[in-house]
Amino acid sequence: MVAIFVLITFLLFIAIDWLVLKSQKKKHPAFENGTSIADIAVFTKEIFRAPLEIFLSKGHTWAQKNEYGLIKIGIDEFILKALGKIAITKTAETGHVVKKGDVIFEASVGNKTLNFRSPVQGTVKFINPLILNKKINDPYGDDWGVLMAAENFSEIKNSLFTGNDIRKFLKEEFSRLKDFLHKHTLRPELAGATMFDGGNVVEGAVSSITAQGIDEFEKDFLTV
Amino acid sequence: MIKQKGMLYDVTLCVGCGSCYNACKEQNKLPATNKDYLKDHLSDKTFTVIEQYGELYSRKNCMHCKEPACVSVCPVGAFTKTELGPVIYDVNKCIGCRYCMQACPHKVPRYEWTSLNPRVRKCILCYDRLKKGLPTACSEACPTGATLFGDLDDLVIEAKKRLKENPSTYYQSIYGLKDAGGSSILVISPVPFEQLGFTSHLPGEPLPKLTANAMEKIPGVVSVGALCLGGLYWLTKRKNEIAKEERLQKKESRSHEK
Amino acid sequence: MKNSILKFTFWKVVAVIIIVAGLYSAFIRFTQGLGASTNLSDAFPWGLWIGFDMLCGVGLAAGGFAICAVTHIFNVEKFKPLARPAILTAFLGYILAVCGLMFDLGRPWAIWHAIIMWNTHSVMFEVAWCVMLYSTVLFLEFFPVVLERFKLPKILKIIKRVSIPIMMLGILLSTLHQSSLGSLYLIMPEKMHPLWYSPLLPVFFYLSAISTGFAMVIFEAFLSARAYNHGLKLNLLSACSFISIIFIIINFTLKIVYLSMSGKLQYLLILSPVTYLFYLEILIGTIVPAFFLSSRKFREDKKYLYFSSVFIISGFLLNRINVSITSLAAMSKASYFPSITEISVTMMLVVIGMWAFKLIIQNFPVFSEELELEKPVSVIESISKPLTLSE
Repeated sequence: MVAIFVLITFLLFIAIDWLVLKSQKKKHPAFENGTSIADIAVFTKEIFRAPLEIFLSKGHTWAQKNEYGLIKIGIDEFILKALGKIAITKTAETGHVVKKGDVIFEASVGNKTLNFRSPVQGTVKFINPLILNKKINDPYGDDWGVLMAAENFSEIKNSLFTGNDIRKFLKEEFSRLKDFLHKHTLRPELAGATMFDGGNVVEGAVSSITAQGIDEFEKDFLTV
Repeated sequence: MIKQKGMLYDVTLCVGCGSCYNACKEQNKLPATNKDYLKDHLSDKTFTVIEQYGELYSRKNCMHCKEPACVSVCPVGAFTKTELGPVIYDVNKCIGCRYCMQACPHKVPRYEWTSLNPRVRKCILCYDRLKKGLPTACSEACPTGATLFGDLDDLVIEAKKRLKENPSTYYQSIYGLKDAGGSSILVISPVPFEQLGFTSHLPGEPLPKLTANAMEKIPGVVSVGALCLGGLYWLTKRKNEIAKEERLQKKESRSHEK
Repeated sequence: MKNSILKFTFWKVVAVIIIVAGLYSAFIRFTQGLGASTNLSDAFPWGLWIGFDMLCGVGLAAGGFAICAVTHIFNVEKFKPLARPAILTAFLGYILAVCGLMFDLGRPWAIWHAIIMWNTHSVMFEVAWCVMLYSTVLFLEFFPVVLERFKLPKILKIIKRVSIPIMMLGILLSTLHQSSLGSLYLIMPEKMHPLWYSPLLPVFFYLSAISTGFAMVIFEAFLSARAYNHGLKLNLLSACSFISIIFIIINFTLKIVYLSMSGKLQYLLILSPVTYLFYLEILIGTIVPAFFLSSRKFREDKKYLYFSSVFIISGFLLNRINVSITSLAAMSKASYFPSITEISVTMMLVVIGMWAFKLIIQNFPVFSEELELEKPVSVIESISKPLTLSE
C-alpha cells in the first residue's frame, strides 16, 4: 500500500506540473516540437580555447604562419557555436590577390550567404581540398580554409589578436552575441531566458534568427 | 572457564500462574501494564509474557541467541553477548536506529516510542543476578519448575532426557537448540512450536552468517574494484591518446601524399 | 526568473505550504517523540523515513557516481557536461538522506557514535561509514565549482591533481554502500516475502541504483530544462537511457534466474495484492522502459525518453518500498501506513533539496563545463608539417 502511495504521489506531482504548464500555455520540454531548444547543445566555455600560435581577426577568421612562411587561414570556433555546424561553400580562388577585409570564404546559413573576410593581405596559394561543403568540425586543425603567401604579415599581425587577447576578445564577443540574440531572435526563450538566468547561449542560436538578422550578424561580427 | 547459563522452559509443566511475569516486573522495576497478565504482550515495560493457547501456556522473552542478530547488526555495538549467556544492551552507545528490532528473528526488542530519550528494552536474563551467582528472578519464582535455570550444557542434556523418557508427551524437538544458530533459552512442548506462537522454520545456522557471507566479499570487491577502475582508467586514457596520435599520423601521411 | 522572490507562482505556494507543514511535523517529532509523530511500532520499526528517504534517496542519487565513472574512468569526454549537475544532485541527495535519518533515529544526537564505536560485523556500520566518506568525496568533487566561482585557481589546481583518485574512491564507496543497503535486509530471511528476499539483494540494489542513477540524470535534465530553459543534450541523454536499460535488463534476468533456481517461481502464481505489486514493479520498472528504450527511434525521441525515465524511477521507487515495507508487512501481518508527520517531513526534505539545487545553480557555474586551466591547447602543430603544394 505504501508502495502504491509513494508511486501515486510521485506521478501526481508530475501530472500537476504538467497541468500548471498547460495553464500557463507553456509546453513541457518533453513535448516541444522538432527543432526546439532540446535538440541543440549549449554554448560552453570551450569557445575560448584557441591554439597559442594563431592570430585572430575581429571578423573571426584566423591566420597562422607555417614553417615555409605561408599563412594558413580559417574560421574560429566562436562562429561554429553561434551558427551551428556550417560548411564553407566557396573560397577565394588560387592565384587571386586578396586584401585584408576582402571576402575569403562564403558559407550558407539557411538560404542566406555569409561572407568571411580575410585577416591578411596576399595571394591565395592553396585551398584545403577537403574543406568545401563539409561541415566544419575541427576549426583550428583539419578544417582550415586556404594557404596564402602574405604580404607584410609581420606588420599586419600586430593588428590581430594573439594569446590571451584572443580569450579576452572572444569573451567580449560572447556577451555581444547575447545582446545581439536578444535583439534578433524569434524565439526569446532560446536566448533571453537562458541568458538572464546567467546561463549560456544555446549553440546554433543564431540560426534561429530572422533572415535580416543574418545580414546584421555579418555586419556586427564578421567585419575585419 | 565460565559456564554459559540458560533456561529450559517446559510447556507441559507451566500452569500460567504469572509468578515469572510478576517477578520480572519487580526485578526490572517495571510499572504495571495490564490487569490481566495473560492478555499482556511484550513491550518496553514488559520483558516476559505468558500467552494462552487453549489449555497450554507459552512464555515469551528474549531467547539470548548464541550468535544474536541484534549484536551483529548494531552499528555502534550497543549489544553484547556476554560470556555468561545474557545478551545485554548499553543505552550509552545506542543511536536509536532500531536495526536490532528489525533484525531479531524472535521479534523481541521493544522500543520506548513515547520517550524523547528512547531505549531499546528487553529481557537481559537478569545479568546482574547472574554475575553474583544468583539464578534469574523468573526461574526462582516459578512454583512448578516449568522454567529451569542452570548451565546451558546441563539443560540441553536434561531436555533431551525428557524428550526421550516421555516420547508420547513431547513433540520431539527442542526449540532453541538449532533455531537461528541456537540460543540460551530452550523450549520443549507437547505440540509443534508454531502452534504456540514461536517463529518456526528459522534457518539452522546463525542469521549473522547471512550478512557475513556478503560482508566478507567487501575486501575482494574493494581491491578488485580498485584495480579494475585503475586499469580501465589507464586503458581508456591510453586509447584516447593513441586515437589522437593516429589522427595526427593520418594527417601527416595525407599531407605527404599531396 | 530573477524577477522577485515575492512573485507568487503555483509551485512556490505549494513549496511554502509543504515546508510549513514539514516544520510543524518536525516540531512534533522532536518535542513528542517517535511514538506520537509516526505510525512506527514494535512490529514495524522501519517505515517511510528509512524506506523512502534513505533507500530511495540514496539510490536516486546514484547518478553522481555513475556519470563520474563514465566521464573520469572510462574517459568518455562528451558526458562531462552531465557530471556537475549529477554530482550536485548526489551531494544534496545524501545530505537529505542523512537529514531524514536524523528524524528517524531515536537518539539523533548520538549519531557520531558510529565514528568511534565500531562494530565491523554490522552492515549499517559499513553503510554509515561509506555514506560519511562518500558525502565528503562528493563535496570534494563539487568543490572545484565553488573554487571557480570564487576564482581560486591555486587550490583548484591542487584539487584537480587528486581528482582521479577521489573519483575512484567515490565509485568504490558507492559500490559498497549502494549494495549494502540491500545487505541490510539479508539478515531477515524469515521476515521478508520470498519474492523479494534473496541472497543477491546487494547485487539487485547495486544494479538498480546504477540504472536509476542514469534515469535520474535524464529526469533532472528535463526538470532543469523545464525550469531554466537549459538546453537538453539529447544525444547524451539517449546514451544514458541506453546504459540504464542495459543494467535494468541484467538486473531483471538475474532476478528471474534467481527465482527459478531457488524454486520461488510458484509464488508468482499466488494471486494476492503482494504478488500484484511484484508484477507492477516488474511491469513499470522493466518491461515498459525496455520496450521503449530498446528501439533507437524511441530512445532518440524526447517524449519517450522522458516517459521512460519516469517509468524507470517509478519502478525503482516501487522496488525499494516493496523490499523495505511491502515484503515485511506481508509476512508479519502487521500493517503500516506512514503518518501525516512522516509524509510531510519527507516532502519537506524533497522540497528543500530542489530549492537548494535551484539556489546553487543560480550562483555557481554548475551547467558550464570545466574551465580549462591548462594553457590553450595547441591543435595547430599537426598541420604545420611539411606540405608539398600543387603549384
